Amino acid sequence: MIAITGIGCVTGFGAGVQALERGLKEGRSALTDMYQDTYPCARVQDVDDERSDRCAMFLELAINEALDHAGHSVGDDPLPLIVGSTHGELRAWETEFDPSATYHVVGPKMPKVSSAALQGRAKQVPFSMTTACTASAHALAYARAQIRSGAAERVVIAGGDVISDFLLQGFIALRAVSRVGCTPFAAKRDGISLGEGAAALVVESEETAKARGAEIVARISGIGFGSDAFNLTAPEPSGQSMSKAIEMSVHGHGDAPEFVNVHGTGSELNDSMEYHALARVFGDRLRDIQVSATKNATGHTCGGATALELIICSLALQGRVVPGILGTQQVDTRFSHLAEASVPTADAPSDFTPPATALTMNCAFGGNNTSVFLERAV
Amino acid sequence: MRHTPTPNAPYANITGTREELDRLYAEKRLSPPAGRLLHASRVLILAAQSLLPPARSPDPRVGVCLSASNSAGESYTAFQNSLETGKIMPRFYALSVPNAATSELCLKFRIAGPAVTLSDDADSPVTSCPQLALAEDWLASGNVDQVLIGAIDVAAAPLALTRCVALLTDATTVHGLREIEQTVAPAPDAVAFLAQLAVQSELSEAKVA
Repeated sequence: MIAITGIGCVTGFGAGVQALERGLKEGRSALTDMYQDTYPCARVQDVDDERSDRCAMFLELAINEALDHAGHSVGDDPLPLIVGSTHGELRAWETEFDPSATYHVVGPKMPKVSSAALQGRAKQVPFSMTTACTASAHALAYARAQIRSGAAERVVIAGGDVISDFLLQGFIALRAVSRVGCTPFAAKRDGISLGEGAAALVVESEETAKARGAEIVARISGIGFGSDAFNLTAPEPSGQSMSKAIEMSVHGHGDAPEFVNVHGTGSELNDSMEYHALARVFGDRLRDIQVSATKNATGHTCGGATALELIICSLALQGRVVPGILGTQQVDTRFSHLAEASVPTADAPSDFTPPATALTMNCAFGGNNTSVFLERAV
Repeated sequence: MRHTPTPNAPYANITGTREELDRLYAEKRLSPPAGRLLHASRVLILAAQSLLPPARSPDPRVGVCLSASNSAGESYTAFQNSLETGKIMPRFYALSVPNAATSELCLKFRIAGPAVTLSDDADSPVTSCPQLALAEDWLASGNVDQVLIGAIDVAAAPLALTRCVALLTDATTVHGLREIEQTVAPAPDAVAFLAQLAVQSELSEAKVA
């Protein structure tokens, strides 16, 4: 079993897990920036806006917080760091773009996190995971493989992306961006809302964590994958591949998870596919699962999405905040099992028992699906 | 152009100029039509066709893990140019995600298992082959029977080439494959190398050293 022993993030709520937790608890949305006065998005404020490597800057903040949390001190052996991102340093690439030049056939660079910025506590491996919105899930899977094989004892994984004209115009061109702020699973949902930021996790074997007396935030008991092999941008509507990813991550656990943080982008096709995938796997049991969709709060952070939502799942398992389907007043009646399920408020009642198990689902362009199953630390 | 498909070999590689590879794609009458694919995807499909048979339905027991640095550069440029001219072409945005070439490979061969794309850091020395580590983990988990691993580069950067050679060495050592002829040559434009890994029992006699 893999244990999460450190978490850190930067979101539109600000730097730090506490800022995220506070934003979720207060039921706020970080979608406060209006792109072209029309499209709400969540930008990270109060950071050095002059740095060209904005993605690396977000990652450094998140990773340092996660390393501090995990108790990994200056002078300890540097941990391998695996980064996932969709477009990396897109804003810098965009700024330097010269339409008359031919060398721009090379795309943006992936973020490069300097060891010095981490006080030598972690060293980035010489590659990045670039599966777009599932990138940090694959970074986690690689970390697990390294820990299982004995190649590494403890690993940092992180994911992040930045908002830029290119990104926003891309999704707008695809007619995928909401004009009101995403409303996942609502009948009149009108698209996604983008966010920027980064999230990081320190992971290690549960035995190692216990041996060194580290606080275990949550346990990761399964990771599942699948590809739709259907379409470059549209998900396969029946959710077959996503359901296989869920089954793979839940395999051997027996029970359905008590809490599910869906990808929940608020796009017509994504939400429908995810609902069908959940219904395929859990059937009527879906009515009893607390379903959460948090992109109305944080925006869709693309390459950071899985890592960020693993943190949200961890907060739910700890009973710190258990968000529902944020931004949505009424769930589409076509999703009957969700409509009947309780949609918890961010403020849990005093007699609330935190979920013991959680699942996070993510999907990316190309029909790339991932699912991670977590358990409360014992 | 170096194109050396070896019948029944568990690997394939291809290098060449854009024109040479486009001509080859056309001669082989491959689908989808070349104009609908990234150049990187066409190169990958050319390399993969000797390894993977056409599939009728998605196969979740097959996975793919590729290093695809620079594979989407042309789409980034095309979409940014379209923004500059005001004639916005949404398809180029969709194709600008770095995993687009891997996804198009999955679409072509109906690969429905795990699909991972890595981007190499051009400034760092190649010290390992993460594709191999991931493939072995997937195979060991029992969730897949076969994994296609490899590298693609369409910007004439030497990194994918170096990575390919590392992959060749690791695959040869770890999987006991017969010595693989190192035919990967300096590429004027593009290079792709793919190797097929499987649980030993799943490999046919012809593919086992």
